[in-house]
Amino acid sequence: MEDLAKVVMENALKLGAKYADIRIEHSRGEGFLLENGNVEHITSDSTVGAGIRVLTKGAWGFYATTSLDRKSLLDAVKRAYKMALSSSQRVKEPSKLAPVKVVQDRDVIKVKKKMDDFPLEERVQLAKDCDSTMRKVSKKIHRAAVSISGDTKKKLFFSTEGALITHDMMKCYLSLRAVAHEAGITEDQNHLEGGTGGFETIEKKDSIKLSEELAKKTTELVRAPTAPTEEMTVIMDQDFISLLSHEIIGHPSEADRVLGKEAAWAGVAWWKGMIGQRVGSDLLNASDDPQIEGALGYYKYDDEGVPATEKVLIRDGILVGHMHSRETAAVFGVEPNGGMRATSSQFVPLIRMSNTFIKPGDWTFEEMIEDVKRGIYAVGEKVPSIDNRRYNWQISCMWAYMIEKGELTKLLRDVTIAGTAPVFFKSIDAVGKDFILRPIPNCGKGDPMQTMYVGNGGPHIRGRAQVMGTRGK
Amino acid sequence: MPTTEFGKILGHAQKFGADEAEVYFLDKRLITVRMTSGQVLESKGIHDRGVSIRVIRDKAIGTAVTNDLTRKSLETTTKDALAIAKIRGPAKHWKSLPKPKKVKPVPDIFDRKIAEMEMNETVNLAIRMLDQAKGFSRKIVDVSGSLNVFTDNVQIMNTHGVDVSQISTSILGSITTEAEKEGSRSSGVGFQGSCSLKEFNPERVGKESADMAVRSLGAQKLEAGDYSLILEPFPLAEVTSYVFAGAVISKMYQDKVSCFQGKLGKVVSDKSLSVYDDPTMAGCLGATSFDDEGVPTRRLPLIEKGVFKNLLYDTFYASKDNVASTGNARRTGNLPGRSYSSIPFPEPHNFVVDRGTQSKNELIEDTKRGILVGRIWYTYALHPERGDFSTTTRSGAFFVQNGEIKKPILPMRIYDNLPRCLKNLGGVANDVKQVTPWFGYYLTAPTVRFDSVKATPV
Repeated sequence: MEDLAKVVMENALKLGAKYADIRIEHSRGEGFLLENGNVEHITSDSTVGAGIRVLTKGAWGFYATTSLDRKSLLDAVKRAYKMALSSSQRVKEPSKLAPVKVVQDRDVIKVKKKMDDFPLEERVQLAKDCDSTMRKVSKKIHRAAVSISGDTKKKLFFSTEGALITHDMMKCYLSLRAVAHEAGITEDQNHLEGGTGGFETIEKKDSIKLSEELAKKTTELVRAPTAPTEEMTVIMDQDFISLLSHEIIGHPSEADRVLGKEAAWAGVAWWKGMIGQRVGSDLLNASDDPQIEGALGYYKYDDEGVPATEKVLIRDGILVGHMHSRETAAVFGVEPNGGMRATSSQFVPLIRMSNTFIKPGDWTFEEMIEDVKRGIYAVGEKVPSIDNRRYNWQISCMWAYMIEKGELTKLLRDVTIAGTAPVFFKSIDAVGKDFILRPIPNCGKGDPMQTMYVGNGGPHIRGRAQVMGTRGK
Repeated sequence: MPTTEFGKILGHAQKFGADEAEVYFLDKRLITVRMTSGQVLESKGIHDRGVSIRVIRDKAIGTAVTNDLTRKSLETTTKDALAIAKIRGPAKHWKSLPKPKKVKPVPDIFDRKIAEMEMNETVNLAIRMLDQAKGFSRKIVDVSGSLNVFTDNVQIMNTHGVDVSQISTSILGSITTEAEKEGSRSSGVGFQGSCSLKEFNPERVGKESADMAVRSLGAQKLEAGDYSLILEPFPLAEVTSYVFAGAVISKMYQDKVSCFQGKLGKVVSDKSLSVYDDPTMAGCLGATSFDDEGVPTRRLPLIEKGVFKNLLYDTFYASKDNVASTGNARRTGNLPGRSYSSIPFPEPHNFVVDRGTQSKNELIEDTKRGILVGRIWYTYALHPERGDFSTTTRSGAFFVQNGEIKKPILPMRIYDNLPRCLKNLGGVANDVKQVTPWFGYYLTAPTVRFDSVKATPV
């Protein structure tokens, strides 16, 4: 396909493109859902596609096709060019690309256990073992569900600047769900494992032990009280921090949002124009880094062919940077930092999180808890509610504990934590050294919507926030 | 794809050992024009086509998907589906793939003008939305949005003789406008969708959005408390998509995570509320004469005069409850409309809330202490089994007191419970509009008021 990609890009230049790139993909995926011992469904797909981006007269055009023959791709590049010409009507701020080093490379991730090395039958058996483990824990578990997915992708990126990059990727994940019910109370809890690599990313976790722990906790929760509603000290575990760092640090750090280019749907960023200003306490440090091998947001080059690099977002509480495309880097006058990804060749790349996290500090969990007179320990994440500036947030946790006189006491169900970003960030007075990165496989952005695999996480964090008990039963 | 190819796939499936087989073919063409910062950001086209093959052998179901339409690939995909069925094992409850039934075509769901729209025409329509918003007032400081135009050409055939095809078109326009005056910044949204070009009014989309943004300037903070929540159709679609739908999808009910659990045939709301799923409305978004398994669609009562009447079923989940499919099998993906890459799942085509007798103004005049909202955001069911949900007002939020709109208000978080809201239904207006939220379900509904809803400033 490399020769054909080259021909297509040459045609783009002949048509009058200032810049063009093509992404050609071959994908294969397998996934299934098992519930209460029965396979609910299995899906298998094998697809191909190409997406061509053209920049001309300061405007973008894009066309995607599922036909990879020469005629179809030459037709597609003409359509992409025509789209760009149409877009260019009355352009006031022409799109420009910040220069980058032209790369030619082949990126093959390390995969120990490929699809065929861990056959579907064996994956289903693993899921059945997890399922039966969960349901054996208690009769209160009325539903156990396990899903395992694996996706492989071969990608070719070619640009009119001469970049030629191939990627050979695989991503997997395992999802566990336990639902317990007793006396009118239902508790529904999930746990997700996964990353970039083969099925070893799942196998290295003790999924049977995880299943048992999840079911036990879910069972305990149906008899647990809910939390008091008041502002107090909150210690958040790494899983809770994964969603907090996703929603309140990752999304507003996307430079297209900062520039208002996502205002129609995904929203904007409250810290627009605040680079160099304090947004949190000295202890708050945050980055986005695609280079973490094995993490779900791993990649070596983004979908503009820009090498992956760590993007420092917050340093010692000061906002220092954003995630960029080549275009937003040109607007901000900074180096492109490789933040552009598309879900598949069907879509244009957007600025996306890779692995976005709060960096570890030097506190142990015991040190964090010992001087808390009254507070909450929030464990896990469930549902976010965020305003479109990413300023005010509310996130429900899987469960929580009361902290009283330096000790964990009562288990609590259905607890929600809320705050405003700058107030909460400035209240952070302890950052743990126990860093964990978690997989998030369904980050949505764009129009049409693109769902992206990312990694998010951090260590235990201590700050002050509003705690709320449930509104329902 | 020629019908003869369908027959060959079904023939291969049977030759390889399938008791039943189904071929689902979709050819989709989509054009998206995205606008930001008052200008066109990009124009995008997608031509996507592919096949989903479903086979059943000894009640074991296997599905495989490909977009490589060569004969060799289709044969391999059929064999993959059979291999998957073997691994999956029998679904004891399974009855059969749908049998052929008379399909009554829904009128006005295809417009050749949309299917054959040139790129320039599409961009010009988008610019008309943009210009209307920009020129509405000097207070407008930013305009963004999108125009999506797509054609779905679907064909379904199975070994029982189902053989249906349909081509439909849709145009969806949305504009978000930001206004600013004396340090106050506000936003507004406008949306319109239709199956035909003549029904689509780009100027109206831009004007609605800009008008909402300008009216919302000077927003003030409102204290926490219980308010009547007056939701216009656009925000109501977030609640029906992300909270209500989960309560009426059969799979959720079977899993006991519906907040209407055990309430079939019982009262779940004030009797002034009737909600349907209706894909048979001529010319409306989501309209289709058959579902994604080839089962004829119908107007299905979900809540009728306050009573919970029906769940949404596809063939698989209907067989679990030993009932017939309601014609709600849908295959949805990331692109708007249909998708060949997903397996069927019971979902709504087009929620419809029956209009009331009051005008929207009368509904407002009848409100003592309320919040009128034009757009909400990040709406989630926190506990689907209880119906707890949270959302945040984003645009067009106003405080209503003693029947009058008093002032625009800053964002409020709504954190309440769907069954409680339905029981406290305060009124249904008659200003019906069809809308869709971002990545949600179509809704045809008027403005609706829920009384005594908890709201907190954010």
